[in-house]
Amino acid sequence: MTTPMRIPHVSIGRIFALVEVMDQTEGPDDVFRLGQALMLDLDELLPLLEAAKLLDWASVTGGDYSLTLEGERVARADAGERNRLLRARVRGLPLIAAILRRLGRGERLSRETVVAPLRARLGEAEAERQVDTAVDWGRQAELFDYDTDEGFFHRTRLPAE
Amino acid sequence: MSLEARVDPHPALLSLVGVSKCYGPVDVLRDVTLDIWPEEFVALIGPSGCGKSTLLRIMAGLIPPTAGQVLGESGPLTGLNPDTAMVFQSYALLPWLRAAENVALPLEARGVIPAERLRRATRTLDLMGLKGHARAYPRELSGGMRQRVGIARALCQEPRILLMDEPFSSLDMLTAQSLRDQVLDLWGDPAVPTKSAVLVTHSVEEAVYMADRVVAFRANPGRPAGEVRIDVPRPRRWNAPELLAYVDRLYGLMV
Repeated sequence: MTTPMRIPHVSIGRIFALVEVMDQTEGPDDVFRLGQALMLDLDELLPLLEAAKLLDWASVTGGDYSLTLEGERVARADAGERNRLLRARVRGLPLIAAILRRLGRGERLSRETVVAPLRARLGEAEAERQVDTAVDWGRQAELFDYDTDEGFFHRTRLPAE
Repeated sequence: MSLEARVDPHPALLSLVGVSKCYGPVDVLRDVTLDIWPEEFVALIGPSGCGKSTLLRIMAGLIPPTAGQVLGESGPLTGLNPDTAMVFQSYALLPWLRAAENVALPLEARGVIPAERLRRATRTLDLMGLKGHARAYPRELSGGMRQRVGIARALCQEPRILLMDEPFSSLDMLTAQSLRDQVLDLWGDPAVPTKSAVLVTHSVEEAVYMADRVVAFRANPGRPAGEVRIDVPRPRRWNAPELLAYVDRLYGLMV
């Protein structure tokens, strides 16, 4: 069982691509057909579906998937509009919200500060992976930046609040 | 080709005239004549060893032909062709440079001043939906994102002709399809000045999905076997029946 704290380890670009494919049929449609059509095995497909559900862009019940209204919007939007819709969803995810809260108080935030509280609950490897994925999603949503050389998160001036 | 063709009021952006390429005794390309016109998306298809990637490099001026001429709008070209920029199958990003630095790098060679380089790189990354990753290193990016950076690097140079060498072959099906559509969207976007493209691919389905004109090559030695104009309006549907009819015709030319 996935706790809501966890972010599925998929690149946002693939979630955008997934909703584009889902939008090509009326839906609801069979999940297994989606896997076949895209030549994705379960280990690849499930985290993608999980991410699409977490962002409330798709629903999956009884082996069928369908896009939500916002999912349809994402599928048909240009890059800028997609990132705006993503930003609104992603900023509320617990790990990303915690990073934003701390960045709001200070200048920058070390990676260790973010990883440490996750370590006890998720173990070393998964804690690090969670933060890597949060970096990818947060950058894509233009919510914050992360400097790999320094190991610090920074506020970004990129998005209009 | 006669000189007369060169005073055409709408000259081709790029003309290959009787181009051959040999490596020692090996005939890679023999007597290829091909024009690339403004606002045209051309795909070159054929089996491995038919010289299509070599031809793309000759168009870019990365390698010289053994015989024949490469003509730009204003005459014969020698050395790098400034009207072109290339997208590679392997992305060809420098791992020690951040995404925006990779995109900006060729602008330095083109004599663009530093502040303008960064501005253009950021703007092009934004077009690709990657602005937030400007400071990421290639290793932090997925395959699809790396190729988006590769495409941004080419588009940022505002080439008249975008050259793409198997740009989707290293990506899985999901990412490849999404990126094909993004390239087509950008190609139709008024904010993108590049209006001609040459795509090298071994996927006939991909060629008919994307291109206005598909040139089929045979191997040993590489030479065009014929070409087909794809008269299907965009957006097209992958493997739509009207496209499959073109796929069938193109296979007929090659085998």
